[in-house]
Amino acid sequence: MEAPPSAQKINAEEIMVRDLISALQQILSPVDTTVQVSSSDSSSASKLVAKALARQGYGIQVVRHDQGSMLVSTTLDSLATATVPEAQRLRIDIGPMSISRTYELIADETIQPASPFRLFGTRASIDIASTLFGTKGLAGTNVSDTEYAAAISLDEPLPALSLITPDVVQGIVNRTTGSPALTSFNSSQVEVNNLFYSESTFSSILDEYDPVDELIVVFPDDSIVMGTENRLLIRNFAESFDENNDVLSVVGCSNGPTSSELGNVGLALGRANRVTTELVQIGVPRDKVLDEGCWAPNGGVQDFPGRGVVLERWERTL
Amino acid sequence: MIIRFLLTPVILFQLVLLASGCAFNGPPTDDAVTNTNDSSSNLQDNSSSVTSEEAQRYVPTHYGNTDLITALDVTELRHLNLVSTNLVSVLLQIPELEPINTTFQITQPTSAFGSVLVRVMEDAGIALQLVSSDQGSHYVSYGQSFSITDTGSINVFSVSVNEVEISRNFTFKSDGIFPASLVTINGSGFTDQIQVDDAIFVAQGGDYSFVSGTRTRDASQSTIEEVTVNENDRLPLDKLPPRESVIEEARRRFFLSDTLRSPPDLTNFERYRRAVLIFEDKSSLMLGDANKQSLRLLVREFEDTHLILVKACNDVDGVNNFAEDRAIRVEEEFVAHDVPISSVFLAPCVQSNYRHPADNSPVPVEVVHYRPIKHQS
Repeated sequence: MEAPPSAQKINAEEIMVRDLISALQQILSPVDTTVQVSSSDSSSASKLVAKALARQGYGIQVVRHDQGSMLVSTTLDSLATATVPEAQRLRIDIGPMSISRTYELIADETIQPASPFRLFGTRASIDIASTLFGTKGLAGTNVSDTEYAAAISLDEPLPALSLITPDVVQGIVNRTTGSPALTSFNSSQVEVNNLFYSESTFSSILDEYDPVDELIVVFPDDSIVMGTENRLLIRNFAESFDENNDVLSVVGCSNGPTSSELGNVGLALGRANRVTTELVQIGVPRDKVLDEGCWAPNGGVQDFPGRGVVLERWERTL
Repeated sequence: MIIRFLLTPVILFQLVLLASGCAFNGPPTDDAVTNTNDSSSNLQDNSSSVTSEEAQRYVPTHYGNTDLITALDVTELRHLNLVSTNLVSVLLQIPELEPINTTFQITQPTSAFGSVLVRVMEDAGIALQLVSSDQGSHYVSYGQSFSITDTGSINVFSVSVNEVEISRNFTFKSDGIFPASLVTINGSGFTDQIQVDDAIFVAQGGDYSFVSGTRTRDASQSTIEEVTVNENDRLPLDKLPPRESVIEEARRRFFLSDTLRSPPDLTNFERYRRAVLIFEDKSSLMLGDANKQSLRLLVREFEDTHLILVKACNDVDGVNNFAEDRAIRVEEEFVAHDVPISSVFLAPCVQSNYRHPADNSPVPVEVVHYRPIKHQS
């Protein structure tokens, strides 16, 4: 059984919670957002977070299992580093995104930020000056920036989302040995069409968007190694991404003879996977990246590079 | 506090306490017209004060005021709990409100009834949003009133959201509270499909009978049954059916009856995608991060004209409550990702024989995404 927290600890937790919530409400509008809190989550930090969210006007749905698209989970870790001997890191996961920050506990029952805000699974921007502590932080620490990172990676494999349209099923039946696969699974285990033969699997999604920006990332021959330069290009490209209005299309290609064990399909989707991973690592929400591939043992596809990835930003049609 | 008098052939007076901060004191005596605070004479005498542990069962988790609860005695609280559970279990089944997928607005409760009602709504998984006044598209108002009629004293409890109002009369018999009318539902086109679970009242025991069922205000009634309560039905207070079981059953009914109300016609649809979600064991309702992520990606391609079919049941005898619960759990998740309830269907249980009843290994739930067939012009 968890020992009752001391008054000092609760006070510090309250301040940390208020600080994170002051940033969170810039990302998720309380008026329009309903979050789910688990009835079995009984830690004091979790309760404080739920109460703070309720107080701010968020809709609160109490769930018994892990229901909901905006399920809240709170983690409070004790840390000790060379520069900060007594610190705590509070992290709030809300649906596919998370926010966290590290705080230093000071002897006179006060705390101060010891790190910038870290956002996971989102590229939303925060006006730091409007948060509880503003830009004030631990001496020598820059807390005026926001760091972006990927949402927690999953330990378990994702269930496959197979295509079962009549034409796909019929195509599999008719496929002769030696011809390239008409479909395969992307990095999220979503089965996608081979764009060499078919239209984009995500065409129905893209119907509502217009392409506004494009980057072609060229990979070495028979390789899925991206390289530092390409990584920087991708990060720069993602700077203009607006997660409320944009999606990113990633088409990995491998067209032409290959000696790689991965084959054309492995190279194409492996390259798409590398670019997708890079985007996700800088906070682009996973469900905003539509990754697929184009592969064939012979070249000559006009719209796609032989060994590269076409990265496009699509903006929602007004 | 608002006090008003209504003159009918039989009603002498009616005291209306509309969400006004009044404690629930049961039926007042005649003196109550002018002094409602001294009106608990008809309640059982063996009431006791509320322990803090018990109070926590009735205080709203996120909008609570413990003082409102501790001011009452245990019996009053348990009565309010029964009434609130009864009303919320009906509210959960109103299709027009889609309570599973709707955020309701509430103000901070200022009465014991309000507190218990909000707590039961929280426990029912209804999303609540605190507002400072009657704002929002689904603002919840509630009330309780008391009247003395030729047939005895009546307490009327009601809860309403937009056009939908649910109300019921209750009366006190010995130390219990019992329904004294059908549940009146206004503003719903599905009144006759709403089921009322009154077993929680029976467990109080006694010698009484009451009617169970629903009706609209214009008296186009649904099925009615008479419920008889015997002394043998009495359960110890700590053995009374938990409100969670009543609420859970109401949620199940909502999802299952939704499929029955409008079974899908798949003639003009083609299968598009299929996913198999894995639950840890046959009784688990935890979807897990991987399943949730896949479902999120599946929903990404969903359009308003599409359908989702959830196939969870494939059992030896063609009936499986655990499977039904898993199917509902998956449907809930789709609904939470803004897929309309009317677009998600639970496939009927199919008789099979591949799984031994004692088998508790991971359990699959198949999800099939349908889209309209594109006709060539």
